Amino acid sequence: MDPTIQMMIQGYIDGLENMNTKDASIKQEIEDYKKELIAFGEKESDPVTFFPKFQESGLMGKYMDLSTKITMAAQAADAAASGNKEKKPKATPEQWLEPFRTSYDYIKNMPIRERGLAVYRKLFEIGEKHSDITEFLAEVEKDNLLWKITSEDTLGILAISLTGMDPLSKGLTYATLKNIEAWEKSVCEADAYYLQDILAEDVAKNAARLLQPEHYVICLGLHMMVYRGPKGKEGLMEMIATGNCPKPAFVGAASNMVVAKQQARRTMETIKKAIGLSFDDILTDEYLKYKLLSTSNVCGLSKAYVQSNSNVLDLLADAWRNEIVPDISLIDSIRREPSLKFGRWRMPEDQEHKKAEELARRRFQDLPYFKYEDQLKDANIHVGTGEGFDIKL
Amino acid sequence: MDEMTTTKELYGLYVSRFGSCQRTPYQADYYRKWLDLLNSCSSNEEAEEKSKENGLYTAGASAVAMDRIFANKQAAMEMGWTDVAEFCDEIIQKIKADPYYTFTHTSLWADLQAKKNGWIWTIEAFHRLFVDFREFDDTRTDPDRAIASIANDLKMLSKPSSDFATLAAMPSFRALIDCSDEYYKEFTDTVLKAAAGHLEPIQWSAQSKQDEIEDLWNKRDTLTEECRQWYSQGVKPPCLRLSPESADGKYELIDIE
Repeated sequence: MDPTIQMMIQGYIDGLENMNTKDASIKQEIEDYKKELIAFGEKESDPVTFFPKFQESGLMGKYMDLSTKITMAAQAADAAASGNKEKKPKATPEQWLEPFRTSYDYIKNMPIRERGLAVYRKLFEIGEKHSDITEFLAEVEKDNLLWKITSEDTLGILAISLTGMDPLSKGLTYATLKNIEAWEKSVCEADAYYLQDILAEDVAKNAARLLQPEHYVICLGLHMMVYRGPKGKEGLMEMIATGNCPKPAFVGAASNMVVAKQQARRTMETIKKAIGLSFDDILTDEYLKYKLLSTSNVCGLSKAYVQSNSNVLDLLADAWRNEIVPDISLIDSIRREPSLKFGRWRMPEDQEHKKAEELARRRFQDLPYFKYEDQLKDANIHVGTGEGFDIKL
Repeated sequence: MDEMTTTKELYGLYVSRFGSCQRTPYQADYYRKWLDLLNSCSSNEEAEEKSKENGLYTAGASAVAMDRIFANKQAAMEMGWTDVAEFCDEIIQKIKADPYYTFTHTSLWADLQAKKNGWIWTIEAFHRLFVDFREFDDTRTDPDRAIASIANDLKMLSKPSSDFATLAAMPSFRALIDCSDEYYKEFTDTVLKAAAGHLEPIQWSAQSKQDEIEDLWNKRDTLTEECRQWYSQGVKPPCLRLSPESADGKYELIDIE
């Protein structure tokens, strides 16, 4: 059996056995299920397609049914043990609100979740006004407050998370913006299920599509960095400047320049053919142009990036216009360098990355997302209020 | 206000909310029946007793479940996921026949999700096929790797078809890829060639510029001064790029000194 598949199957078996059922007939069902599961695992050889096939085979469904059966058998046994209970008196609003107070206490240390907290407070205010549960529920229903506990808190968190994102990255913000639209429209749980399904397809279709243009530009940037950077031109110049110039390394760097130049030209032709952009179009696009550089996120959900010096962009543009497009010789390429004042470029080191992170955090400290992050750490709690719609940030 | 009137008001509000929402016909119907029952009784206790006799007392949970399934069905129909819509119909019939069905068959949610996954995973795999193609097409240097990635992603296609050519010809799948028709054709042709196990690589070489490289090697001493000038320049620090507030803003750049 494939080791990855074996690990997955073991996980399912452990899951059932750890429920420790005392029911003999269920125990037998578990044994039968284990045999079926192992036979299935031995038949499947590809871990990539294992899970969908597992679902299609009905074994996943059987697993869920067995889990429920074990839980229900345990509950029935508990009920039998505790005997018949007397009929409970009608709950008071105060009693009814108890679980909500627990949730409220859980998140009140995060004042940034004001939108959700306000709904809880309104609910408690109404609770104080009434001693009768039906009157209380009627007033709650008038404002649809039970649904708003979930929807308002979720909308609040989504709006907060948006402030931690790069608004120019449409592929990144798309899902959140669409999620906000869906939650604003929903008035009940079923509505949210409908809208989440529509949203899932929409996001699957569009978020990845919005990221496609930058892939071409990243490829172009990589070729140009090989051409212009330490593997190419700057490597050659350093060897000549220092006199540490072994011929194989020298020829290797020169060959890299030649090949990277050909590859950059081919990639640019593809960009023109595929998405109709010229090199100048890329440079005038505020978002795309930085994809020519190596960058990495330093805080939030891509709110700030650290990258090589901004002059490198000018340097790459210069190389494109004056060396790659006219295809000048290697020697001419090296000779024109002293007229440029850019100096060498490099990527940040760990210490600089940390410094960039601190700078960005200081700059953005007042943005809701960063307050939220801090409060989340302080409160050490899970995001979201439940009902199957928790948000994972 | 007496207790009966308040209860009627509450159920009237439920009827109003669930009746006005297009996704909740079963809850709307459930509360309407309750309201009718309340109107035919003289006390809440009488209505409760009667609801136990006619099954309404325990019908709330199945109404919620049926609406949830119904909402999934509506979304499936809107997106053309016919098998999902049919599955939802089957489940609703089963819940109607057995109000406890959702409690004894909790796997139905996972089964429903599995049905939906077929459609979503096909879209995601189609996107990944384009990424596989792009990664190969940029330099066309590693056909074996591309063939393996493409083969993996082709396996994930299932809905509405598991055949790549069929999907690629559908307008809804064409819309997933943001490129010209000319490049889209290159994409589909390349995937089909990879599926057949053959992709032609490009042999990149500096061979044509050997004279140029040799010339540079021979004249390297004449370039020492320029290169030293360049080498003596200070190293530019890396840079922090801060996002603007809105999508029409500009990044702010700060050197990390």
